[in-house]
Amino acid sequence: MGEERNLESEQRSAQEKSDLHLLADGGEMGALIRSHDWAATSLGPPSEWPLLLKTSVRLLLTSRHAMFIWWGPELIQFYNDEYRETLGPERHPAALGQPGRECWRDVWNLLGPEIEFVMQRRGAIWHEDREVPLVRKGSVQTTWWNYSLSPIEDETNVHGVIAICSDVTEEHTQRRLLKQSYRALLRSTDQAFCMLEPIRDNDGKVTDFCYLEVNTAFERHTGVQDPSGQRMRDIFPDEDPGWIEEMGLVTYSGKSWHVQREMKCLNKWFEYDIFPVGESGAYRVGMLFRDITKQKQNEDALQASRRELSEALRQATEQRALLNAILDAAPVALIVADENGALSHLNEESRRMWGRVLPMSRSVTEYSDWKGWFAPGSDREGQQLTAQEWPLARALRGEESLRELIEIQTFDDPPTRKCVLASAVPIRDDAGSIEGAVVALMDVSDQVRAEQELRQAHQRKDNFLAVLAHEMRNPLAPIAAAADVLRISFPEDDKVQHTSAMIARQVKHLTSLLDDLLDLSRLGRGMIALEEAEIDVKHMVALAVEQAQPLIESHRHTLNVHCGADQMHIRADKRRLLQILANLLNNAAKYTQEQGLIEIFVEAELGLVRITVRDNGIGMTPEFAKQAFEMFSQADQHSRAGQSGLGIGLSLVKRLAEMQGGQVELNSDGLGKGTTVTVSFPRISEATAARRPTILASNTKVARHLLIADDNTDAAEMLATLLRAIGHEVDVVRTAREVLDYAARNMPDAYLLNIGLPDQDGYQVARQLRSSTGENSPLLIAITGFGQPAEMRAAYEAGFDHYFVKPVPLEQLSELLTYGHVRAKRRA
Amino acid sequence: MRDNSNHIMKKIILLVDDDRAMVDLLATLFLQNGWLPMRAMCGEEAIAAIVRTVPDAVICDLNMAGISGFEVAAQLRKSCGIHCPALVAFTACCDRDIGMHAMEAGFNAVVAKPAEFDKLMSAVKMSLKVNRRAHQKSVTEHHKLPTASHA
Repeated sequence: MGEERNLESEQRSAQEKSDLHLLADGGEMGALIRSHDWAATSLGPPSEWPLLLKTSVRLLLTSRHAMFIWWGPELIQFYNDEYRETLGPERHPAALGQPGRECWRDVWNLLGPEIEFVMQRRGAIWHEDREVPLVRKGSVQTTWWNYSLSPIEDETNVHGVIAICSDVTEEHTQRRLLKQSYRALLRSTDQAFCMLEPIRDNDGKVTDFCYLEVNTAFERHTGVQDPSGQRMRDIFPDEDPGWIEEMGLVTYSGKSWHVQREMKCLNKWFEYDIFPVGESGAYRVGMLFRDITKQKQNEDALQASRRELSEALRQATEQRALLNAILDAAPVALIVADENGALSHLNEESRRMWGRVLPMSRSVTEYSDWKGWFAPGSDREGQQLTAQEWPLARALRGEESLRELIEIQTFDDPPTRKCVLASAVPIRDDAGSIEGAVVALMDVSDQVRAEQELRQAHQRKDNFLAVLAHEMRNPLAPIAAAADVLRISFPEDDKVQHTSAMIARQVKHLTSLLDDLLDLSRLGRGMIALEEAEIDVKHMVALAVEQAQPLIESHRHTLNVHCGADQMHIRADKRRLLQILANLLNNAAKYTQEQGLIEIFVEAELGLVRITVRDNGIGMTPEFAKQAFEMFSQADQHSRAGQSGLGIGLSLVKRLAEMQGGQVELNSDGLGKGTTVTVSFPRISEATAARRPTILASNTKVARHLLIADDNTDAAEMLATLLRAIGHEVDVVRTAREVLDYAARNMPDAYLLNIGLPDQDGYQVARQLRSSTGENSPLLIAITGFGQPAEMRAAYEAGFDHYFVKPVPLEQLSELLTYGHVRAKRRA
Repeated sequence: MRDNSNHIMKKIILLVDDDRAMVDLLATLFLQNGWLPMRAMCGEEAIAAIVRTVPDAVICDLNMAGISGFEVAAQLRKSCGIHCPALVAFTACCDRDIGMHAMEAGFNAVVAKPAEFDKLMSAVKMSLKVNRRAHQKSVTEHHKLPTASHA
């Protein structure tokens, strides 16, 4: 028995061992299950449990899922460590092995039906995110669970229920919080939000969207009240379908899209964030957007103003570029300086002119780096410019519109010299104070050189003319002499007489041409010295007529002279005035057909004396008239075919007249219509003319009786010789004493007294002569070495009638003596 | 004295010019007008000729190689004094300055080339007259002046 018992107990213990093995592991609950007095329960010891139970418990103990088993009709309970976590001390550890109805009495109304449901073999139950109130740590807590209630069954019956649970309270709470914050966010955000469900056509293309949900801001932004459940195209029928397609792309790509766009139907600009929501392939579209119309308008305004600014900038740049291009293209060097003289801008030509490496002077004093000399023609020709004398420096000091010809030395290697014309002006600000200066320099080297060459050529021409005129006179002399030899040798032979006369005439003509050439050359060389005096024009006209008479008569012209009654005095050189008038008369005679009419008018008009010579001759074309005064214009053979002459007569007339302050005008109504030439000179008033001794055009061949007083015997004798040569009777003395002695015994017509006589000055002598001869005094002429105005006044005051500066101009003196009707003589 | 002694004799004129044709032609003309011409082809010849015979008048070119007309005139005035012949310059240089210069050198007249013979002749005659008058004057002054100063 004992053995049996031993055996039995051994067997039992071995069985127990294997049962215990079955209940191995499982942590705390494993230990509790193993130690539980199962025998006291209706289940009996584990070794007697049905296999199904054993398997289920084994599953429970080895799983990490929270599991709970209700077994048998009493619904005896098992649970593992994971489940144990969910149980408070009010249930654990009592719940182990406890019948279910007992254990969950407080919530059996909730739990019981489902367990019964499974037990009755009606199927399993699945709960997701199920709210389960639990008492934990002494308080009822709300928990959320996913759990299943599955039957433990064999072929015949359901023996128990196994609950496999997972506590999703945390996930649930998080999800709820997320959803709450999402809602709060959407509510609180200023941005409009909408969730859209894409609506596709048969091809899967998105054709529209359905509003699922919008936030409150949606209405604010769009003015549309909650459109949930409606379609976008219905809400915004005018919306661009392309826009919907574009949004649809988000559902394909799964990528969010940030875009600014104008919603034309609302006339508003929005900034959108469009993003896919949900699973790939079944995306919904979330859309956050806000009204940026104002911002856009501001932006537009900003952009517009930016555009304007950039346009203005561009124009300014363009103008500057244009200006720079112009400055660089200008063949003038332009240099700009600030108020201190620091050079601020140089154009391209400046570098071309001065050389590539220029000193960028920072002040006027640094201008001394630049080398320049005053050019020929300046008062300071050849002197180097100091820093302060550069036009830029002068303009900075306020000098306006200054021009200077400067010879510069460049900074080239080797340096070269150039002649530049510089003009500078100050630059002034609105207030007028100088804030800089600009100088323009033009390279005129070529012009200056050309001018010099031209001047030289001109001079050579004048010199040539002079030589020509002289040299041609030499061979003419024997020709003239030969003609005379012929004439004298064959006085009876008419043919020879005729021929020799012709030769003589032609020599004379050639000579006069040479004279004209010589005068021209003298004019060109400035070698015509005028001896101006006050002249009676009418008298000169008479002399000119006398000179031209033979030519006029040979052409059988009629000559009419019309003179006004007024006195007509001018200031001119007698010989040259005669030359002018004779030239005009000769021209008129030459260029008028036989038996023509030549008229001379002498008129005083508007402070002028006008001498007009008019003919009814061949005239000239307007073209010729324009250039009639040009030298050698006669060389144009077509204008006056068949007429001889070098064409220098009128040129000479004009230049001689202008030299004496006169003017010449020429008019012709055309070929065959005659020519009118007018010469005018400023008229001298009678008062001025009256200061001179009376000169009358009377018997011209009168020989005068003269006394010359001069301590320089040689000079006096020379003058006497000359005067005697033209028919006057002349005596010479050396001292004032001799003059007075001579005057006591003789009655000369005129006295020529040197002012500086050795014993007494000429003024005193003149006074004594005037007082001794009274109103019937002779002509008193002063001769002096100096021409001071004061001396001249003193001479007139002392009683002199006229005044000459040595050397005595013989022609004037001769004229004075020849035409001067001395009062004393008239009286006598 | 010379004037008185030579009044039946032909007057002598010295023609000075480096242009032979000119000298020959003038010689012909003066000969035909009753003068006795002497010739010189340059200043040196002219001065040498005067040493042999002092003429009544001289017509002298100014611009000659060697001794110029100015020098000839100055030389004659100096060496002949009051017996100097009448001097006429005959020149192609017709500047007034040269004319004055010639007068200063001692010429009595200046005639521009070319010239008609009549003009040249009248210049010569005028010069003779002036020369004679100056001569007479200097002779009379010789007697007159002391009286004047004593008066």
